[in-house]
Amino acid sequence: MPGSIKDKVAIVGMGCTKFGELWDKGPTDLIVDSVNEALTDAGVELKDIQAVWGGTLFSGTGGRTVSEALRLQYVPVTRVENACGSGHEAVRGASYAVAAGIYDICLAIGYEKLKDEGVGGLPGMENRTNTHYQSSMPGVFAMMATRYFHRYGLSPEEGKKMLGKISVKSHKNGAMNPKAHLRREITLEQVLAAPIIAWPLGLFDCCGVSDGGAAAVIVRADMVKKFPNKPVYVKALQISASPTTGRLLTTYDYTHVEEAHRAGIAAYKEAGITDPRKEISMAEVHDCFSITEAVTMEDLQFSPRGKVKEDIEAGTFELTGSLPVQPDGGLKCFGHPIGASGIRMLYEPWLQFQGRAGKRQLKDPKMALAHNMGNEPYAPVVSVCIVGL
Amino acid sequence: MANYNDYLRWRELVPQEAARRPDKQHIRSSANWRERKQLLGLWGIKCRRCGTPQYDNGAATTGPIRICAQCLAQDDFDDYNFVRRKAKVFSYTQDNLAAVIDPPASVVLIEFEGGGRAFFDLTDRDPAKVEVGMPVEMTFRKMQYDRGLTNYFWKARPVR
Repeated sequence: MPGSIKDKVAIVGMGCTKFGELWDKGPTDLIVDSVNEALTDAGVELKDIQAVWGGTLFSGTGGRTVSEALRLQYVPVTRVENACGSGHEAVRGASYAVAAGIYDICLAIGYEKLKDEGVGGLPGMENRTNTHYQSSMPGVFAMMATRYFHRYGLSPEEGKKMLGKISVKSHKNGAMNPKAHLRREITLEQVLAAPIIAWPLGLFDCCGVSDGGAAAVIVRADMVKKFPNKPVYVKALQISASPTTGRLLTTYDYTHVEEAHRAGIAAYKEAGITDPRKEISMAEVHDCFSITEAVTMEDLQFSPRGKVKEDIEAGTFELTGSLPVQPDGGLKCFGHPIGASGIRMLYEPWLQFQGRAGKRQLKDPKMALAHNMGNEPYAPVVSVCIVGL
Repeated sequence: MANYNDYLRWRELVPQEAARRPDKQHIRSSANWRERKQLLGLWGIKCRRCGTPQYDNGAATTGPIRICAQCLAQDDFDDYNFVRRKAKVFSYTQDNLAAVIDPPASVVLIEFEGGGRAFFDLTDRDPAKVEVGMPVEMTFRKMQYDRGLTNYFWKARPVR
């Protein structure tokens, strides 16, 4: 019988840089700036940190990238990578080490410097032998939208409208977030008229490709009284890696992400949640593309299968709805510096729980879910992290 | 072919501005040799235990299928060829971000009659006519030239 992380560790301070095209900042700046904010927030100094987990996909290898930037004095640093889910992986490493009783106070950090690459989309992540087919990341998610429309009988216009409303909502939230990359409200008409990136996904169906860093100070739950903030306890950390059989077998429907569904079930069990739609106060999900957010609402049991359209149209996931999703703008608008995203998803709950979310502040949030996904819909690693008071 | 400009572009007779996309990986000749049967002959496997045909051209780790995706049997397969099998489009995209000589990149997930599915480029197509359920067949094409080596692989095309 596996154990549980529930209430064994707590976040006592967090930091996050502004995300965006930060031409004047390198990886070192992203690390130092996010860590400084987290340490100040927690009221601790760098020398108090006993071990560090750093998540990045492209920005440096080894623990040295972090220890060098911070001039850490010979403490253990582990670089973790789980594709776009690297941020949560860093939180897992730090949380488990603290829960195991090895350390009292650890740092989880995620960072990514993407904009030096000079390419559209992500840098090359193909490690196959040869080029077998030429779709981009938007392309493989677009194929999920094609299939979703086909399966549920949506015309391209109906489908694109459903997805467009997701992006309109995220832009509305992102516009209120001073740290977000994309801070303009948009209209559904703009979304539908935007250039196609990979049919049926247009420009506004795709998240921002950004630079950024985020960090969290994680301590043993019995130590929280020593820190000034309201502690935010880790309730669940579950991860599911794909056997990637969905691209080989005709049984996979390509309208859901099995790993998200399973990680969700496991996380709800670990956190003791029986009715996620009612018990979760807010969610930050991995909305790399609008279709990803749509199916994730179904995978995490917020909406019944094939019915997310009804919830989108009812405004369920708006800031004013019963289950706000992406209150900070999500990957869509806050941006997606790969390694930083998983920790950025916890930064918004952190601010919300402290009552520091400004115009985006929700009333009395108690339980927040973050869903961090790496790789394609048929072959991902998906992490679900639940935090609460 | 619609016009002479296409011909010049496809034959690489006029220089093109490079796409702002990551460079393609170099051809790895040892891996090409190791996977020659699957790459050149479009050979997959049929599991002896559960009978499921499988073709794999998208694994993060390259190489032959060792464990059945359906029943998890290990190394208990017969060779199974996909070249002349009929197939239908299960899903598709028209990808404008992918750097290809004939944009958009029409990429399809196809299902073979009798079992098995895989992603392929769709060639000799009119992007406006691609749809779910469209019948396709396989065709052997030049894919990439790199450092004196040429890669060939299979693409799907509308049945004609």
